[in-house]
Amino acid sequence: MAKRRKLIKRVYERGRETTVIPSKRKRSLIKVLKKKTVKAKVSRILKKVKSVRRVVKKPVRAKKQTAAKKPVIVKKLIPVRKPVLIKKPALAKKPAPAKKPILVKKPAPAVKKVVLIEKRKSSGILNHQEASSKAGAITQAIKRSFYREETIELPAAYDRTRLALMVKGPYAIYAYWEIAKDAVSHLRKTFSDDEIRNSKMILRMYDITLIDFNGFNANRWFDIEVGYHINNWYINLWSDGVSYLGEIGLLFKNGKFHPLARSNYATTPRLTHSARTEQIWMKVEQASPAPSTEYATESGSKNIFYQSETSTRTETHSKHTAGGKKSAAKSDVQKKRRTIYITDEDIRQFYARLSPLLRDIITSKASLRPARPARMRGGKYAFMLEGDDNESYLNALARRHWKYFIRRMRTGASEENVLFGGASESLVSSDTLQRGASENIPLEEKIKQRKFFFEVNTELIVYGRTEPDAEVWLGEKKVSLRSDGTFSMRFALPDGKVPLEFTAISNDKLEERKINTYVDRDTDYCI
Amino acid sequence: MHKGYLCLVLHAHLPYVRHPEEEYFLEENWLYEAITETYIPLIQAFERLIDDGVDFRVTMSLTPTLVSMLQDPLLQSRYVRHLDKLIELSEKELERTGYQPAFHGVALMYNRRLNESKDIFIKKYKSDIVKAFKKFQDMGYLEIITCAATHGFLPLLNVNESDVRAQIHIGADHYTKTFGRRPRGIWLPECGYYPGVDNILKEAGIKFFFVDSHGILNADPAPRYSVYAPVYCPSGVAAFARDWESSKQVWSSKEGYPGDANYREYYKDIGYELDYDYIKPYIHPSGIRVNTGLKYWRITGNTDHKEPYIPDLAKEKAAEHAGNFMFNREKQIEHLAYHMDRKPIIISPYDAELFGHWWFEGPMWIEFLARKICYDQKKIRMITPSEYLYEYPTNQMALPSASSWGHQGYNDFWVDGTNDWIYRHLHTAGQKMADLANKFSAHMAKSNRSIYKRALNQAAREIVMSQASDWAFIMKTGTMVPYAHKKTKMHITRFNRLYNDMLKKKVDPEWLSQIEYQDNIFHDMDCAKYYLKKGRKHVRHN
Repeated sequence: MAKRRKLIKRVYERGRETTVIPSKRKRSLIKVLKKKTVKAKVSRILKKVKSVRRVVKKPVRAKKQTAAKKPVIVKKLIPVRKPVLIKKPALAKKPAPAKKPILVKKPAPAVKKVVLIEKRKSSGILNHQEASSKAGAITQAIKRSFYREETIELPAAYDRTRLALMVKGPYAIYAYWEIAKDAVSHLRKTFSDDEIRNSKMILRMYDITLIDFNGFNANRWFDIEVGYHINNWYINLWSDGVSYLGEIGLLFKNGKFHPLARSNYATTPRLTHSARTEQIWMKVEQASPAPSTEYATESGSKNIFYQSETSTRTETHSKHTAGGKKSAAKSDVQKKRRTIYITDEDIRQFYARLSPLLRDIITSKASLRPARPARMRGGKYAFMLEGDDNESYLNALARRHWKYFIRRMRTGASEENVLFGGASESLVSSDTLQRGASENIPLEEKIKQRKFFFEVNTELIVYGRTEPDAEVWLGEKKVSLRSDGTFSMRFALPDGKVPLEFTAISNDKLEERKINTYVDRDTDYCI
Repeated sequence: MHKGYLCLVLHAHLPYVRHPEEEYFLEENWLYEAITETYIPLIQAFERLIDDGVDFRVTMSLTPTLVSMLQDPLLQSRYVRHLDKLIELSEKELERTGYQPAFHGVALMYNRRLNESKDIFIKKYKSDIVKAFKKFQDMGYLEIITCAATHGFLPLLNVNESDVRAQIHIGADHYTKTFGRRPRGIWLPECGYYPGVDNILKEAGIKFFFVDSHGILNADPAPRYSVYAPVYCPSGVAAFARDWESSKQVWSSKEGYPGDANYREYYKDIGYELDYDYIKPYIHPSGIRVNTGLKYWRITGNTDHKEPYIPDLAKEKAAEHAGNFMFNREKQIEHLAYHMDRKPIIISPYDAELFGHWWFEGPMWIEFLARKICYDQKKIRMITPSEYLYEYPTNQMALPSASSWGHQGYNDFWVDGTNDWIYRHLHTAGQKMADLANKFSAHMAKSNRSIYKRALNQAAREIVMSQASDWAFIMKTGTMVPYAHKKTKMHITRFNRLYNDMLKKKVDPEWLSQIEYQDNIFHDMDCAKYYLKKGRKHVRHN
């Protein structure tokens, strides 16, 4: 009930002269309101007020035109405001203030300054100090209050033929359109009346997911008959993560479609995790986050305190990042060893693969050269083993020796990335993996890194053979066999246990053999 | 040795509401209430922490609209007027509650707080509390990030890329002007991200932004570290994702901290409760009852019967909750660090106005949390995103999924039967603006007095003001709807008139000065230049 009353109050609050049609609920409330309590009150008060209003109204009209030039007169306008407001029922509850129109409010001395400010205003320079101090005076000069601003019905049409799509959610797109008059008259010229009479206005939605649309190569499309009198539509979709482009136009009886406008692209978000698990790492140089200016307070002692505070922070910070001199060098090496600088074009290509529609808007500054430790070969990116990659990773981590863990924390993250990033490529497909890890690093990069370093990494090669027509599975991933029935796989071998569970199934599915093995790596860093 | 990080993000935003044409404007109270209840208590909390040598980090977004209002002399003077009234009321309250011991203490508290507010606002920061936040940033405790110019919801504005570009660039440049350096991060309005917006962020020199959890969880390819490490968009801008566990603890209306029985009840305000004649001088002059901010009851429970508020009890509770929050984060970090090769970062973003305005004890809670994290444990530290990226410049590259932190996680809230009609106008106006700016681009080089330049800039101001996501939001929520309708229509109408006048080359200088005075956001910036084609640093590839 209280809520309802609030709402009623809202509706009548300051009796705004809105041009908006109230919602259903409010409309009904207003009805109730009018019927019951307020109506009587309002009329009673209106009667009271009328006299006041009449008196005041005159001067308004008379002086309006001159108002801007002579602020003195403007001041007299003040009384207008209240009486007009009083029209509104909510205020009417308390008619008291109306009776003493705020003539009292601003004493005369304001006048001169008003003129001054007025001048400044028209010269385009707004002095806010003055404006604020005499806000009241200017207020009067502006002469119209917010809710009695110029009529503000927005145009129903802009005379532009256009169609726009807006993504609402994974399964919904909102479309709105407008057909300009000249487009209609053009239609009438091109097609006979009969043809138009038998045609339908449709919205044709092209599914252009993951393609570079040229007007003809849509994956599929569907039509929505929208009729001639509607200008927007909520389109429900049956799948998420799709891209659409719409066309609005006439569909003739003979099946010919005459489009009038084409929309922008709209790509709905995917509702689930991505199925792609390949990893690409990127390095972006970041500016130091330390405060750019030292802050100095009035008191000297405090100043020293703050400075020392910040500097200790920075020191500890660098310690965490680099782990002292020794490991700093190490981590640098680690970073450089497998770092490949990629160009803007690479990024663009990658982006384009994820979302072809974004191809054109992707740019990056040449000055910023992001690097990523993963390798690119022949335009392809390295892939991790598909499937439950995260799971095995977490398991492997869990088994890791604590010393190794500490070291990793000291050297920073990049090493781990390198290990995994570098290793991942060996998992792509055994066929493409003939070259060593450092081959793709440009020579100058190699020269740059001439500092002493030492590292040991391990890789694991698993091989075997079976009948050429059998199937072999490693966990849930199918292993591809060579024509002679042999297979071999190469993995990065991080610290920890790596379980390898092979299953072979004969061609006729009658026989199944399992071989489980595991490899354990334990590295001891004697620093 | 700490194992991970907590990144507390406060998003401070209010729509641009400034009505010089009316003496008392109801919606301006949003700002005044937020200053008294949120911004000043936060400043006080930060100052106490710094004085006590507590090493803390908070990330805070101050939107360009909020900064503009906080720096507007008219609103500043009106705030002082508002505050003076409240102090007067609180003094009367001391008298009124003189024989009610249960309430007198609370009245004393309000009186003290209001006087402190006045002291801070006028004496310490000379009416400009943005200075306070800038100071904390310069000292390294706070990282202030920017936001889109008027909090426009970018995923729905992207029909015209020029609109998105203007929103972001104006936001970034306004930040530069205010804080004396380029922004490193941005809060995308309503966390609204769509693939491709990051390229525009990059143009503006922004290094990171935030998305809701599912933005990263559904990123392509799937990120290895879930939401506990940032990913780089292909453009090289980092995306940090909200952690849902810590969010729920604070946000949730059922399990969340702010719903505790000992905390102050928001919905019982003396502005509505006391005798009309007594309270009349302190509510809206036309007689509409409003919140005064003086509330004497605690939440008590899910009943209409309320018990008096006991500040000490609430403070105890805030400390307890801060401890609980920290404990949960420790456990979370411990668990995560075990599975990650780097220190995990937990991003906990909240609306700043939740603290203090809705949850009265919120600023206190933040203060307790910072103190406890600094002194009571060794597992987590507070950090800002910049610091984290500095420590870990290598991150996975993935394309985040389009998302927002609104209801249902996408754009549903901002395009809906109640507000979809605005976009037709916003988009058309946006297109017209781009046309206009390019047509009259020669005028942009002229002096600031050139009427066409002024008209062009004002047209851009009207556009960005109409694009604020707040209007669509208000239309959807259903409170104060007429105001939102009026605002949207008014700005679009003014734009349309400017557009037509300019094409006819007949701009009414008087009317122009008037709307320049009324819609004075970014009054010292050339807003139209962001719509110029040649101003783009960006090159199209074909």
